[in-house]
Amino acid sequence: MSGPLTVLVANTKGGCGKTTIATNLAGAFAAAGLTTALADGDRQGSALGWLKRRPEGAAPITGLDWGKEDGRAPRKVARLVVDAPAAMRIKRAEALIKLADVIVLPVLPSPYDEAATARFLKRIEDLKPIRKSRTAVAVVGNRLRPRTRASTRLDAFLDDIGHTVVTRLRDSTLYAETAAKGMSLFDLSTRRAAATRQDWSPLLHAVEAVV
Amino acid sequence: MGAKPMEPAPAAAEGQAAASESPTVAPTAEIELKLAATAEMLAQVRRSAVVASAGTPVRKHLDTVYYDTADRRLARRRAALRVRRSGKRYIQTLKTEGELVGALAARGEWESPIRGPDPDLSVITDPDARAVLGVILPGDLAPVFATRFARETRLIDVGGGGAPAAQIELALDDGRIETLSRKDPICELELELKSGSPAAVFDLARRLVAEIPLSIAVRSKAVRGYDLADGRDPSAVRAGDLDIGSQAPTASAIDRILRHCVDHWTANHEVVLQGVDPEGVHQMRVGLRRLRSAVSLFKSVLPGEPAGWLRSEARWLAGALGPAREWDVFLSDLLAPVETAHPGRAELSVLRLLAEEEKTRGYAAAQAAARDRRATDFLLRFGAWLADGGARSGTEDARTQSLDRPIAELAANLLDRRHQRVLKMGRGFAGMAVERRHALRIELKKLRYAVDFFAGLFPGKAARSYRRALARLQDHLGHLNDVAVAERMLTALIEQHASGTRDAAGLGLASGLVLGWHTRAVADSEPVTCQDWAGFAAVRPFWTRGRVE
Ligand SMILES: Nc1ncnc2c1ncn2[C@@H]1O[C@H](COP(=O)(O)OP(=O)(O)O)[C@@H](O)[C@H]1O
Ligand SMILES: [Mg+2]
Repeated sequence: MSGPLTVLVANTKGGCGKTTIATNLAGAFAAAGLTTALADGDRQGSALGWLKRRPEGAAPITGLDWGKEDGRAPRKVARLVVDAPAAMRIKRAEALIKLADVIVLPVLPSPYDEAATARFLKRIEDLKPIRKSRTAVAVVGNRLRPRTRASTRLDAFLDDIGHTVVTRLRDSTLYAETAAKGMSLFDLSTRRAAATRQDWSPLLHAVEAVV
Repeated sequence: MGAKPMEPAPAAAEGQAAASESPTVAPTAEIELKLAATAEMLAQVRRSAVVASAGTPVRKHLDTVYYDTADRRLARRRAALRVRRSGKRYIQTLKTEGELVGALAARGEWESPIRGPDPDLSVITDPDARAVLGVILPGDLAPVFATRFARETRLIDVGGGGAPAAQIELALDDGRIETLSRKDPICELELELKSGSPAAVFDLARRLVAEIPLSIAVRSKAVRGYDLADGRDPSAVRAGDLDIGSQAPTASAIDRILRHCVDHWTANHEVVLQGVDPEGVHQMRVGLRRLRSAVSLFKSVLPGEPAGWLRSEARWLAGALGPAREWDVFLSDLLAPVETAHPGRAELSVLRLLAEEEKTRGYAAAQAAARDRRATDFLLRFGAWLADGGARSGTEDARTQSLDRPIAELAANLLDRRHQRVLKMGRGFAGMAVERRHALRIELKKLRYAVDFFAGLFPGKAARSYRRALARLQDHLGHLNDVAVAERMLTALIEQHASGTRDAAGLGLASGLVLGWHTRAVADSEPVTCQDWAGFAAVRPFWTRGRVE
């Protein structure tokens, strides 16, 4: 392959955890010693804001402002994470998807999110890279407690539309706490962080499996 | 990225790929080759004059464990992570080859001492290396296999007395590859050029092969380890695409093409020895036929010296594979459909039994030839010739000029010539006698190989439609040939069993049934075959003369 392994975090629904997942993925890559870039495709710039807060000495991540226009990753970048805006035109979605090796799709366990997710999946399913399985789609259940009713419902919903969750991220105040400091779970050495990080293993494995 | 861990070393000679890219072999190019032996042969190697005179060897025991993720990420990325024990010390090595993740195309090797037997990735900080590893979580890595062998190395000085001097390291490896539940012996020698001319490595190997029946070894220890761990047999390999680049000088293009054919042959060597997948014999034979075809294609620019032995040795080895392939085809393509249509006919069972016996004999002969030192020497001789300059070596002035021209010019001429020849031979196709059809089929095959060699020079739709039309026609004529070959084989089989205790009459009946069945099928498909001919004759050649910019 040419260019970095690229992960696009996208869903048309706002607040489902795109920025949270994008920043934590970037944090995981950087912590593994990979040359990492994080592209913020949202004009609100919350991912870039997170990078600004990032403390000195934390594993380095290069920020890219793709708020107005998609750019390219600098040379030598091994992993590129793209935080997509909630609303984008189909042309832009197409361009970003073409760039991506994996699309991570966060879903909250709520009827509104499910409906939005179903629509989004339907829209992108016919795009060539996805139709031809060149780009993998990884659905991530966010803010879930395992074996709750909401969690079972989400599984049933995904099953209906022919998907399964790659992983479930638990609801944890750690996300807000770390985000406020420009950090990810992968920058912490506490036992609590290590336990919460477990949720990320299946997703990281799935991302690394594409090449 | 291929699913195979660390592609098999090209032919027996690693490092040759780089060598054949450039017209002259860089003296620093790593030349390493490997030969398969038995314990007895290793003892003979030790006793042989060149080796014995090199003095006492350095002996080491090498204990190495290879690690990977459950989904074999490192192998997929053409990397290997191993921890080698040396006395009380542990050395960790990450090796990568070829294209890496994240646009970091590089061959690399990162080695560092670590504290214990388990890998310690914290010592690997180079971003290029990290890019290959990706995110490795605790518990992701597990041992896949171990290699445990005794290695004996000697430095051998060759040359002097006219021949150019060179120093070669000879390593004799004796031990095994282990997984939790399986074992596979390691018994091989490796020759590595330390200094001097690359051809010297091949020459030394040929001297050893002249005394000791060493055979070709293709898979590296790492590839064998993964295959063993994952319960995979070596799999048959097709020719693969070849892109020589239209600006390549003719000489290096010829080297590339010949080398591609030889790789096709050797990549299937171990599949043939395994004797399970019939595709192995088939592909190895195709590789050798392509080689012969390439040699005759380039006869105007190749000197008689390599052309002669390349052709005769390839013919010998391909010939030795013939019966195995022919009985395979007979059993699966000719006999099987007739059996299905006539269930329970005893005569057909007799025929099957005898055909299976012949096939077994054919496989034994094919394997013996593949293992034969004549095959080994053929490969080494080719390696030596390439290392010595390949198509450019021993050039007279008249040839030099054409060898420097871009290949695209010659390619268009050669394709034109073969195409015209086929068109001429195909005149009056519909009512053509069987013998002329066969001659045409052979000519078509030559055209097909030439088209394959040069296809990379002419990208685009025209080439694709041309190849499609050609392939379709070949399919039909190929079946016609299979039936003719079967007639020859069955005639011989009947003769062989004419006075035997087995049911000779039944054999005759069964053979007649099979031949009749397919002769009729060939006759039935005649209109389609004629259509395919017309389709091919009408297709536009995809090359244009002097297309070079
Ligand atoms: N797994 C989680 N547990 C707790 N809070 C979360 C989790 N995921 C996201 N959040 C919170 O939800 C809010 C919206 O998340 P965000 O990542 O900004 O969504 P988006 O980028 O899709 O709009 C943020 O306040 C964030 O901290
Ligand atoms: Mg956001």
